Amino acid sequence: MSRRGIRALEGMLGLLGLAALAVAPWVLNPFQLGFLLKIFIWGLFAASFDVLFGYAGLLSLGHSVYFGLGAYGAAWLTLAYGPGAFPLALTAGALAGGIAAAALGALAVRTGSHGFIILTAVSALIAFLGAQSRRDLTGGDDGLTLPAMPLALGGWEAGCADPGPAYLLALGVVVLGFWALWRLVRSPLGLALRCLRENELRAQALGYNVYALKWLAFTIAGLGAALAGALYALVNCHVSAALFSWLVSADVLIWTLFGGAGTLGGPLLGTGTFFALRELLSDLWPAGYPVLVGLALLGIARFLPRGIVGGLRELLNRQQRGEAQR
Amino acid sequence: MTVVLFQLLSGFVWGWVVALVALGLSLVYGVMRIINVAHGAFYMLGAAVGISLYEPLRSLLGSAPLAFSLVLLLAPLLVGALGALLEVTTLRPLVARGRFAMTIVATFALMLILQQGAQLLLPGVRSVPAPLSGGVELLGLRYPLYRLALAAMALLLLGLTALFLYRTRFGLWARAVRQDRELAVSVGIPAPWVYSGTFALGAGLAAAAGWLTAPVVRFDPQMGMDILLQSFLVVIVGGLGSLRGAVVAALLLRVTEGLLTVWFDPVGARALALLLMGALLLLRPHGLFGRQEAPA
Amino acid sequence: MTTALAARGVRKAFAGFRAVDGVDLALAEGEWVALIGPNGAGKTTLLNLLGGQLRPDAGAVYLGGEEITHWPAARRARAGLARTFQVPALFPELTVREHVVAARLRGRWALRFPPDAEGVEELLERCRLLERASRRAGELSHGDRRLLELAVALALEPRVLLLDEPAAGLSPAEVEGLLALLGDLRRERPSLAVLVVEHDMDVVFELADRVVVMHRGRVLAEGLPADIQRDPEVQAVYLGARGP
Ligand SMILES: Nc1ncnc2c1ncn2[C@@H]1O[C@H](COP(=O)(O)OP(=O)(O)OP(=O)(O)O)[C@@H](O)[C@H]1O
Ligand SMILES: [Mg+2]
Repeated sequence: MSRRGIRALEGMLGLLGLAALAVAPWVLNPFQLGFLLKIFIWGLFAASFDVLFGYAGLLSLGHSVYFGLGAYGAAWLTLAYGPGAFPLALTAGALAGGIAAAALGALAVRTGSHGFIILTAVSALIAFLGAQSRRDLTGGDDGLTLPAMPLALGGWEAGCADPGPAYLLALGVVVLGFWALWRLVRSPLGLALRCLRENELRAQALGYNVYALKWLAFTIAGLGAALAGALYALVNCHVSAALFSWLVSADVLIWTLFGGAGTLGGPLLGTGTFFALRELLSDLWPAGYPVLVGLALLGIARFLPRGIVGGLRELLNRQQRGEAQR
Repeated sequence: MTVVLFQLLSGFVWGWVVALVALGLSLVYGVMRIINVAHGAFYMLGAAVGISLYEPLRSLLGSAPLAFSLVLLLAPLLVGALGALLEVTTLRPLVARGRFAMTIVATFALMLILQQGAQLLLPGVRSVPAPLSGGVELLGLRYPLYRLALAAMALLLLGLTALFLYRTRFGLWARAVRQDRELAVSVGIPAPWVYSGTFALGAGLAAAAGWLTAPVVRFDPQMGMDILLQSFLVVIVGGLGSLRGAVVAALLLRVTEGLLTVWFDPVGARALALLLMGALLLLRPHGLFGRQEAPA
Repeated sequence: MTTALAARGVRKAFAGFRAVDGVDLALAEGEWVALIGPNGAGKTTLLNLLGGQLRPDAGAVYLGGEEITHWPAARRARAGLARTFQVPALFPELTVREHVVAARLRGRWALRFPPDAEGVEELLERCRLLERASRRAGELSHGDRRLLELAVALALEPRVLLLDEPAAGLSPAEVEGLLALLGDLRRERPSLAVLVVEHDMDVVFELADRVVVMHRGRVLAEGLPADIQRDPEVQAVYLGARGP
């Protein structure tokens, strides 16, 4: 099949998939709908991480900070101005995370690649401890509970347990977010990020200001994560200090690697897989989840370094090469 | 005043513990160029293994200090052996292929497995009594004797490790690999075994720290997380690869935290201390004793 | 004749070892200069000082009359100073075409690609890389990697080009191709100044207007290729460095 043919097919499948997702509220029960919603929101978070890790090659262990800030930004605004202000809450949450990322990024990208990893990991610890310590603001481990967004669709009101219309809003935002990230990685900026991931010295010799590019990638990734976080707060109706935890940052790394770093779609797939796995195991053997995740990770690290999507692409590429040679 | 003194002392004691943990982390990083996320789990395992061995040994030997010291020898040995085993089976293939990001993933996976393993095998939170009771009078303050002994033991282990690195053939090898891996290999140093040995040494040091602190903290399978991240910060603020820097930064971090505890709640004080230390990087992006990463 | 690139008394020491020890060098516009010298003479280090990969301990570097000593490498590249590396420094996961496009952008980025795809194709064609345009750099042969190094440097449309051993490791046929390519370049871009480090004396003779010989971090001799080859001091250095 030709490259253009594959493109067209992919586009058709994408549209079909979107249509299927859009009718999901009328097909799935509230629990299933909520589950799907979670995968999308955390998937957007993972995709924003992928811009930083998969494209720019910067391994952050503190991406949860921006998700958490987005969530708390939206939560505080909702508590101050009521649930009707959700567009404002969404914007403010995303901006809060974006600004914080711009500030920390300016420091982190200057510390060298290994320093970067450690500094971002510590930033997550600081944010987590800070959130736990200021219970008056964050509610600590108990967190804050928010009222549901006043959305209705033909008499069907969005609730915290039964998202319904909120699902559609969130789906729209997530799709927009993915589209923006996709445009970005396809642009000259995306190419520049991949260059610096592959060989910083060479990227510099081509005229790329690597500090500025890294900072930009960090800021954009933070903005995307915060948007996902704000969305999470609004549909989940609850936020807590645990969102900042370093483990959340590690989770997003795992989802991304499993699905395939540097593919945008892979992280979404990885997120879905691990959510499903956790759900499955929570009935069978809850204590086993971390162990299984650990073993799965060891397997990925050793045998599937490009993740599922990356591995499939590799296979496809090789096949095409073979056909071309014949 | 006594509160301030007490917090200063505690910060000082914990500073040495963090330094000991950070030393292992820094060694592994310096020699193998991997960021060992499982390091905190080895710290926790040191406590876990120690707690399991201590009671039987104490009834066998009839002496608490003796049993405690014996465990201090056994726990690091066992955990170090486990570390070597894990290094050979999981990390070596990745290091050989130069997959840096994947080594982080693998050590993270090890951390998950070890933590959950400890949770399953050692259910219920347990603790051990300190082998030394009593306290010392210091400027009108009574400070627990064991904690001072803890600092002294940590200091002693740091010194022994330094001796080991500078007086033995293995230490020479490890330092050579750390300086210039290719050169070291070309003069016949068996780098893979130096890696395993260093990893085991790092795990053993963490385990020793874990067992030493077991009497003063509550055991919890997650207990290694906090100290892991503190060690991370200490290693980078000290200057990646600088052992001296890590010790200085560890003391600075914990003494600052201790002082801040006088005015803030413990969690807030810890966050603030970490923040202040992190801010040091604004002034010196490559750490107190660090050099800029050389261009390739 | 205007000076395209100049170094004045540049020095660089590594842990006390003086790799480049006070070098003066000037390239006129349109001039092709070969830099030769035994292994370890400091040629690559000098190129790194000119290209901005290293900062000199002392001395100054000028590009077209402007002092650039403290400019980062990226700014020098944007100002028209391109280089290749002795050990090809490419982006292993990126395709050949992506390399050239990335270089064409010269450090600029936007949300859309500028529509100058033809320039890219033409350059690929000229560097004999068009058939392999969708290959990843990591899969290329050594010879193709060298060509891609050159293509990437040319895509920057430089005023000054630094080449670090472009013919090293190439087969005789590949060297022929390279020389033809560089010959075309010289004809089409008469103002381009080129500094080429090279061990192969045939290549040096073919390309260079002038030869500069480095030894132990210093300039030992410079002059016309034919004179340099006869210079007894230069012969001694080469024999001394190569002989037992
Ligand atoms: N980053 C570095 N650190 C320490 N020493 C270095 C470094 N780079 C180069 N040197 C030393 O400086 C000297 C000059 O090296 P350089 O690479 O410039 O030589 P060269 O003339 O390019 O040699 P060759 O013909 O082998 O490429 C050598 O002795 C080398 O070992
Ligand atoms: Mg050289």
